[in-house]
Amino acid sequence: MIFQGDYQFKGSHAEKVIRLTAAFNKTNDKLFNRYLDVYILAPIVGFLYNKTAVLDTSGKPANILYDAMSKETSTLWFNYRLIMLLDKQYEPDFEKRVDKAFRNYGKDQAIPDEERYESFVRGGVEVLFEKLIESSNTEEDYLKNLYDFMEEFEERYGQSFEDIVDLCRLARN
Amino acid sequence: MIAEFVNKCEEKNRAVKNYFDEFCDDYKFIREFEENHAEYEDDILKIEQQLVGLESVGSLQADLTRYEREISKLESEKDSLTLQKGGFVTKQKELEAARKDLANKDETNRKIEVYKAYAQYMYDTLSEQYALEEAKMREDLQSTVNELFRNIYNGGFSLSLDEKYNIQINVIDQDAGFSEDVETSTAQSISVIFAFIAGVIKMARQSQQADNTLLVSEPYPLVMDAPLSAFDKTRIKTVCEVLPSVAEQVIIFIKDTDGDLAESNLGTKVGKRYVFDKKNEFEVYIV
Repeated sequence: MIFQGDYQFKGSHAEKVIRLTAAFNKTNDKLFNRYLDVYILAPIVGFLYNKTAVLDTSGKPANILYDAMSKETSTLWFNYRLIMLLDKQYEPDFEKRVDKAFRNYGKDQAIPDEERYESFVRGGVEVLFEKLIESSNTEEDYLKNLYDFMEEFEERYGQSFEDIVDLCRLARN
Repeated sequence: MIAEFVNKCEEKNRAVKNYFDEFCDDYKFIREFEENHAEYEDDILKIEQQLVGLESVGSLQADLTRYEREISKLESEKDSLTLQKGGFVTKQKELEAARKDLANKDETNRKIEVYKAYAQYMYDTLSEQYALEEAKMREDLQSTVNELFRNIYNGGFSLSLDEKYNIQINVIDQDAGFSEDVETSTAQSISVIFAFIAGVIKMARQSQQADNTLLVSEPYPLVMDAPLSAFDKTRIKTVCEVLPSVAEQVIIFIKDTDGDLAESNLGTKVGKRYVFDKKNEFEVYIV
């Protein structure tokens, strides 16, 4: 079951995660401090950019120990539920999506859902790598690419604050 | 569970509301910092380039400090000396006044003071008069000399006299491209000298006849040694015409070659002829 033990990025994704968490200047600054931080963010990015990726098992893995992950499980589950609720492509039926998010999780029948989630994790890693690392050579490139990515993100989703507030109110009632 | 999820949605939504703006501020700060940093690095580089090849500033700085100390020391010394000087000047005035008082007390000294005042007044008046007359005379002399010079030399020059009677030769035709004060040839120089001497003598003769009793002079004979050697025949002719008409008496020493020429030009005006019979370097007889 997902989020219940050590986690491994594998193959090309492990390499990308290692690059995403590597220092990009002399003062040891990093885009992501830990593999875990990539693991938390990547599925959201993968989902929003509608990018999934198949598992690649070649090469060395990058490990996240459960000890560290256990402190972030509430965020991880939140992200999982969010994606299950919003992924109409995967499951057009609203009720079934709610079930996936709040009822089936962690059970055997959720294994394909977890695999879907994992593919978004890998897709997100690829998006993050492409946006932040691939074209970066100098320290300045890293900052500029980060800014461009953040700006793009803001343009796409930054204006939905009020909508989300309304949606939450609706969900309560 | 769903309620909890909704709460979390709200919570996260609130948390990220200003996230991008704050991120932008941070990014801006970093960019500005980097720009400033680059500018400062540039400045440092420029300054370093300027410093290359300069001597060690330390010793220069030490020199500067020493000089500045020295300057301020000397300035204060100057101030105190100025103060002292003021004191001395005042004292001098007092003493001068005292001396005057003392002088006036003595009858003899008082007389001398009076005479001195008369003498001073007369000196001043005469100086003034003299300066006036002298300027006038110099002007007259200049025009006389110029007239004579034109007779003798008949070139495109004019002469002028400065206050110390130095003669300056000017080109009359300024378009010829010469400035003032022309360098002259030997013959030109001698022409100038002729004109000057003749001018002086002519004026001396005139002053003898003038009514103006302030300036009285008697005509002296004009004595010249080989005056014609430097001139060509035309000039010799003019000189021979001018000289006798100006001076009352002309005595010239002349060698045989020029003598024949002079004889033919002066001819009738020659009063006496003498010949030097030279025995040796130290012994000459007049025949």
